[in-house]
Amino acid sequence: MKRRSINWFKVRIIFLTSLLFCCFVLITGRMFQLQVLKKEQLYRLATQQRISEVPLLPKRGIIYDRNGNELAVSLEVDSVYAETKKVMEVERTARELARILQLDSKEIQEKLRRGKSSFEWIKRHISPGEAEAIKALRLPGIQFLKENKRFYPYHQLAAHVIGFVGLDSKGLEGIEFQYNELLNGKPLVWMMERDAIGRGIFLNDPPIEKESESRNIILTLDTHLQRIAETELEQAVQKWEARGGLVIIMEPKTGKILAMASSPFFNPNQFLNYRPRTWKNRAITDVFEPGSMFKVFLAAAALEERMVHPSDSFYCENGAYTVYDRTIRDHSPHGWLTFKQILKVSSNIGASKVAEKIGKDRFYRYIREFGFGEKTHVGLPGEAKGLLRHPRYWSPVSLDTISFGQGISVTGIQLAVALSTIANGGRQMRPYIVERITNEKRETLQVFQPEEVKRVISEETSKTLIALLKATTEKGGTGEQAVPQGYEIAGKTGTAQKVDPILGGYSTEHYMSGFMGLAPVEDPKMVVVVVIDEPRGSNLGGVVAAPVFRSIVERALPYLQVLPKGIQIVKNEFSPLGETKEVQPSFEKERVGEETGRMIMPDLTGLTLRNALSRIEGRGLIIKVSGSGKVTEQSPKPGTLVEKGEICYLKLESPS
Amino acid sequence: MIDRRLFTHFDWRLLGVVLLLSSIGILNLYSFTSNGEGMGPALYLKQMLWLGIGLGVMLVVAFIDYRYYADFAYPIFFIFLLLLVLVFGFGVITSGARRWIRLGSFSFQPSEFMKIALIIALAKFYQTPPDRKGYSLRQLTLPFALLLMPVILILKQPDLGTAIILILIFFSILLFVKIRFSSLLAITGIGTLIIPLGWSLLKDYQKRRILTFLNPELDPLGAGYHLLQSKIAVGSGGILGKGFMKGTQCRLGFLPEQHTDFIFSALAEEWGLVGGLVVIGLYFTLILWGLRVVVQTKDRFSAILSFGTLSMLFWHTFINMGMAMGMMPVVGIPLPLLSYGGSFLLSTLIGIGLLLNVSMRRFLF
Repeated sequence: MKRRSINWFKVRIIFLTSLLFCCFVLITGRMFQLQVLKKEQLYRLATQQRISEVPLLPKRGIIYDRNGNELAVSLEVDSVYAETKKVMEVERTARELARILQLDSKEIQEKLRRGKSSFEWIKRHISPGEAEAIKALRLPGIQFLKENKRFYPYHQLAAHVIGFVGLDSKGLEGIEFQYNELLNGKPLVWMMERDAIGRGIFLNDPPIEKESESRNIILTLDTHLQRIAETELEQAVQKWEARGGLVIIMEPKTGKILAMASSPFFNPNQFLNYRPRTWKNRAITDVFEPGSMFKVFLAAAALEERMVHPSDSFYCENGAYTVYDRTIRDHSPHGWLTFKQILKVSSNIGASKVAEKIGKDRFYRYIREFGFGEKTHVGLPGEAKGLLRHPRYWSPVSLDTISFGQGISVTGIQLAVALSTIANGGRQMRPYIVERITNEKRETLQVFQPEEVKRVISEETSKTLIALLKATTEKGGTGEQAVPQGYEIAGKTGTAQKVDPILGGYSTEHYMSGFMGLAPVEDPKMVVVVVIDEPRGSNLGGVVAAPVFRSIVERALPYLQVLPKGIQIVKNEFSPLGETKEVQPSFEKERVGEETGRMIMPDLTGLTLRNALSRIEGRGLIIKVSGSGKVTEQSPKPGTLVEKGEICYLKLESPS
Repeated sequence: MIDRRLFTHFDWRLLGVVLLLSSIGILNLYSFTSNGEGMGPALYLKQMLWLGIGLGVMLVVAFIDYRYYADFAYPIFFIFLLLLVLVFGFGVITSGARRWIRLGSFSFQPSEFMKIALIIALAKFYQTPPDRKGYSLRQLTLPFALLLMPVILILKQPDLGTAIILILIFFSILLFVKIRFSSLLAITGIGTLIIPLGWSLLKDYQKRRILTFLNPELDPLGAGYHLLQSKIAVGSGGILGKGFMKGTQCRLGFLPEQHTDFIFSALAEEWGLVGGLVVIGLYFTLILWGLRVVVQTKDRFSAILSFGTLSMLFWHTFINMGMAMGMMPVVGIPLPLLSYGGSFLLSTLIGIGLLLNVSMRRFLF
């Protein structure tokens, strides 16, 4: 080539080379951008279009009471789904499914045609009858998956504590909510890989239940005591046409919650049929003024500080005592009363005078020490703190009114913990409701031990105080009706006007009646708090709530092996405890004999359905049967005391 | 005819890069088309057969003195032009386009070979140097005719990708040889006028592709789908890639045309940024090496011949990769030596043969 054009040639080649270089740098830069900078986003997109996840309900852990009764279990039920690519006749399939499952045919058609995923739920948790009917049609592409549905064998029993579960194994209330992750374990996901035209391949078999690592929870609740608490509470609520109420039974030495009942009840198996307000666990969520029950803690402060002796006398102003702008009144007028008598007759004026002697800062310190104004952390969701103001914000009469439980709000569980402290010689135990956590092989993973939080009052003070509280239940005391036959108890009544939510100030019609007590006095096995919300006819704690306490203690103590004085003991064929077969009180036996509709559950395992039924029929039990063959499991357990109207489950299996 | 010196000057390095790229191509095809779902023999086996034939043809092309090609430049061009016409009579329709001619059990695509024929014909034409000012517009009538005849035929098939490549090769060569500045202005002017006309000649799907490129959100499930899927495949590969035979997007069919137009996306998915850079590096080496061949030529014909071939390789590579990475509209332009396709592989290897041919004769004259 010519010299001149060679120069041009060189320029062009250099230009071309740099152009080339730029092009490759451009491509490389873009690769870097996509594969490094945008990698996460694009990788997610790739996974999204390729992997479908089918969440499966894991076999949720079981909730037991402390005796091993199953309070919440998971049962296998069929769920029907469609592999949409395999469905042949969309319209017919949708029509048939709609007919059997009582769904909308058009909605099903839409699901079948959607094609977005080749997996579509048609209906979860269908009945065996529905499953049979669908299976018989042999519709192509319509498949079944065993899923677990939550079931509460005892129905409403302890429902407020246990709570319930929504679809997809999600605990919504109570223990089910609080321990949701633990009960569920690892979520089970069935992975499906799809190609571009939607043909799906499950990457593996459905995940195995064992992998779920679900945990069982053993509660401190005792089904038997819980039933006692619930039946007695419900009877009182009905008798007094009350809005509701709550009962807590606590073991003072350990802090274990043995029973926790709220009224109105609901059935967690059909929780949607009940109004949401019935789901509330009133024992921990309801905040109310404790009324005279609070005098117990005033007394504790006075005695511990040695500022008042039980025999010290106070002038009770003949029933009307004016502090600043407010006149405090007693139920009936009194003159001079000893401190002991003030508690016994529940004098508000007397309490005010004692409080004035202690002073507000000291009184406030004890109120806090007993645990008021903060959560007890019993281990249930939704616990309230109550309302306790700092003395700085107290009005001139606050000290006087708080002494008899006005101007302070508490929860049932706070009262139970505070009284348990007194019953336990002044040592406060942390209340708890979950006793143990086990794995699916029922091996214990974690045990919750009783835990002493602090000492609030001395042993001596607690003894004195219990003696004073015992006096309130003796003749002439407000708690007379709380005394069960054959036992000595200590406790305090309380009646409080409810705060009118609209007008403010105290309502003249709406009362809250309560009784809290411990039994037996010599060695307290249980602390019981009873609160009845808006009773009609009477509002006195001693009339409305005290008898509930009595009935509960009367039925519960024999069960807790504390026998009433003066009752003969005979050997009993059946054991109400199930495991032990030792000496049982004739007391129970007698009552079983006396009242029709109460019986001790026989052991039905190994019997045919017909034979099993013949043993328990005609006693007013509601019998529910699942499976066929011979009885392999039963609930309640053999030896348990059952009552008319209780539900009895029989699980039958045929030997395979 | 075959001089011993030819062997001493044989460009082994060029051949080495080509063999390396071809092997990667086969391996890549094996990786995601061997999932047993295809009918007939697996694609990689067919491609291996084509590679064998192609390498043979390449050597033949390389050893025939390029001056013979100059002598037969126009006859070669018209033979392939005739074949392009014949496609309309005897062509086989595949996915809406009539591009192939069947010969026994082989079918081949005349349009692919047209690229080579055009390069040879243009080299022949520009062999005669222009006057001092360069080629005038009138002098360029014949080259334009040489371009337009096949381009119109190919657009009719329709095959936008190959037509674009022909046009790009033509203008690359035009800028390489010296043309008058006034001619350049005139061509640019005419080109601007022709674009709307050309637009109206495009098929609907071709128009849609270009529009979608300009705004991919226009059609995320249709034409934009290809673009998005390619980006997803490339991006999800990350730095190290998903591994041999582990690319999910290409193997499960999310990546469209994964064995032809989007082969580079598949490679980038399985081998990641690292693998992609290696391949890009090899192409860069190949083209840079080709430029060296161009620089060392001793006559106009071989310079234009090798430059034309090189521009063909470059445009294929650049457009294909740009498309795979969502930087260019989705036009069906395969990647040399990696994409599946017999005719395309053959024409690429013939091009390489021409480069080798020119390269080893650089000292002979």
